[in-house]
Amino acid sequence: MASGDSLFERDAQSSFPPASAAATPDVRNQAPVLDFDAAADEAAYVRLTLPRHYAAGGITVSLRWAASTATSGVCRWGLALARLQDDVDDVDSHSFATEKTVDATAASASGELAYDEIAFLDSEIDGLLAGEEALLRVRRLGTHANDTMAGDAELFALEARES
Amino acid sequence: MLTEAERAGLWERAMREASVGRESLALTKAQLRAAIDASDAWIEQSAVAFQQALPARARAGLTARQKARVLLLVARRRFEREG
Repeated sequence: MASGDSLFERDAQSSFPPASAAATPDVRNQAPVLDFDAAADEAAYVRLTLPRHYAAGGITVSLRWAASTATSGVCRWGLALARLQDDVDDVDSHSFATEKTVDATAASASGELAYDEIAFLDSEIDGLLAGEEALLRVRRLGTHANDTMAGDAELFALEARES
Repeated sequence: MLTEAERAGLWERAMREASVGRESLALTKAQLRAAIDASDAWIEQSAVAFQQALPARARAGLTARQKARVLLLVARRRFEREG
């Protein structure tokens, strides 16, 4: 397959929480979202199977999010992958590869979605191969100096494609 | 004056309440925090002026907490009326 091909899509209800510092499920105009606090580093996990058609081109993940309140400022998002290799990785202790981040500017109105991307090279996806299971950790790094956006960030969905 | 932790707690609470209420907030985190710090500093600096503004009977008869409650009641009512 080729660059630009969709790999997976997830909405807020497709995630599950870490044991601590979890993003909070919420709704906005009845649509499910995950709220990520401005003063903490909160996270959510997404399980995925890398599609068989993945051709080692790297993965670009698009975050579709809105600010609960802010109309300016920057939200720092982080993504990290943990491969779950056959008879190797223990699901009782997640081991994520190096997190990649993006400093995403809030949309000009708090109800508008912002689309921001994080691209992983094939060498940055924890060795994940086509057909294997993995966990994707989504975090807002609210305590980072670059994160200046007041109030919650609401994650609506993720869409991933081959880079 | 409030402690650093108390000011940080108020800052987080202000953001949480704005988020829950879906209030549009055209400030960055640092700007909101500066507003909280400035408000606390203003209360500290204005304490004497507030005392002097109270009628003598209230100034002498109310505890500090009761005076603060009076101020809060008036401020809240004015905010509700103007909001």
